Amino acid sequence: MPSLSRVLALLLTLGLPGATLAGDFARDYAQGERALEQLKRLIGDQADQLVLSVPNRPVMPLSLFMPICSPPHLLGLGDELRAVSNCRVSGHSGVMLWEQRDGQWARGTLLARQRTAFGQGTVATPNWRDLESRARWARPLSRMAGQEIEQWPALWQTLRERPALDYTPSLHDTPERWPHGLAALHRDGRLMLSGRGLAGLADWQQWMARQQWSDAVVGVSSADVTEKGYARRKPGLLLETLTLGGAPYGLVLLEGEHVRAAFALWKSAHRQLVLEPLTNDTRRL
Amino acid sequence: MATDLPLDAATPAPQPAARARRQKRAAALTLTLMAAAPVVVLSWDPLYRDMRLFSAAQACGGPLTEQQCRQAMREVERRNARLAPSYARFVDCEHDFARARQECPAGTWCDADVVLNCATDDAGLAYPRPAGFMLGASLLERLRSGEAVDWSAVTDDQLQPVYTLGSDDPGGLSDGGGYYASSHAYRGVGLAGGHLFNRHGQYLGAPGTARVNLHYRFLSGAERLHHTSAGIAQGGLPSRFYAGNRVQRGGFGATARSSMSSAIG
Repeated sequence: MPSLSRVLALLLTLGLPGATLAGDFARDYAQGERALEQLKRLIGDQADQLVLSVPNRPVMPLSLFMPICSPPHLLGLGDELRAVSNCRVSGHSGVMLWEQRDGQWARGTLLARQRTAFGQGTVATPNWRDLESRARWARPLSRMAGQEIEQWPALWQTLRERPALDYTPSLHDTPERWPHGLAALHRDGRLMLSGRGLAGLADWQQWMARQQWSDAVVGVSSADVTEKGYARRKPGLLLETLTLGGAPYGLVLLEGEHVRAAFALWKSAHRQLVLEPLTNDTRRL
Repeated sequence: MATDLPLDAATPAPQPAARARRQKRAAALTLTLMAAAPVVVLSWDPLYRDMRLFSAAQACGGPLTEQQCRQAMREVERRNARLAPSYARFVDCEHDFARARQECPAGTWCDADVVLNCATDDAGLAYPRPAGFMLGASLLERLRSGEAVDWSAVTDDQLQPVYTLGSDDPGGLSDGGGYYASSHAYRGVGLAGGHLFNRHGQYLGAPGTARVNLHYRFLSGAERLHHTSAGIAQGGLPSRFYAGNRVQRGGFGATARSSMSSAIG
């Protein structure tokens, strides 16, 4: 006889718009592809509607900078639509973050790297204060090597083809706390560590063992979020792992309507896909 | 005819300088004896035992043969269920003891057994697994001489498990390296800390410590130490670390950290 929690999980699963979630994603992906083509044209045409933010230079139209850029790739979909490419502008080179305003491509921000007197890498950008709230991910993005930018199209394609977004395990009956030193748990039982503090690990391992896992999901991880005003570490499905700037990251699918994560790649009504560091080093950026 | 002479007259009066030298020698001897006495007394003190530490992570390299080491570890694992501090809640035990027992590079999937976690006994109490063992010096001598040892007959004051804290290990930060540094070299997670503690939470030494002179009271007592750290325990006691009727303030972690701070500052 199924337990009450199982029945509730089933009801929740049926209640969630699981069937349309992948549809929403596919729709946003298609729109993103079209927007990307438009961005490529704008860069090629050196259009004046795009402004560039480059270190040590005032913000000016793209046509005045004459940037040399690699083809941009999507780094977000839907409301989080943005793109990245490698660019060389005014003696600086680095990752260009392309963003929209009011549904139109409006700005490119060069996340150029520079070295301090002590040899530590920092992000040099004229509007660092603008990016301060996003500094947590601006730095790893600025470290992205060329081949790491090139991995994004395949990543989006993988997510689009997998049924992961329609996969709705009962994340509501998870253990209370996510172990501080645990980065992720693989569906096959392996684990990824990010530091010390493993209190609660056994509860999670037992929970994992009770679930029916699909190949579409790598496992479970967690993300720093603000939920209803409270900062917490929220568990989510780990859909993919990747490397940015030599550091490990995960694509984590979070549930909840009032969840705000540092760097969302895509959002739907009840869920969002976030980019989350899998080490304490990067979490503290 | 002998004449009784006054004593002073029979023995010549010592010279003042010679007397002073003699007094100085006596004083120096007294001081030397006073200084040496505690050392001699301590080294002979039957209340202290010379114990040798063996970390399982170091694969028992050193004076023991591989077979002796395996046998000792097996015996320690066996008696650990009886000697280890116990916890009413598994998560409390994990909080104090769960840790990576070997290197697990950041961003890498590692097998689950990379984590040395707590175990549960038949009564449902959680207890830590030993990180190694300590062996009495006299027992070590017997082993070195090639004597066959009946491990089950070895008393607890000659063979006991030792433990390593899982987190909040101040010494571990230097070992774990760059987790909290701004270094871009993403080091692995593992071998965190490695500072050794006995079952009472007394600090024994940093990783690599080979021997320790331990008071008998830290080796004695076959009773199990039970730890309830979840606020008010079922018996109505607040967080306590108690053994039988003996109640001590603080849990294992607090005791261990306090002991470690006293030892290494």
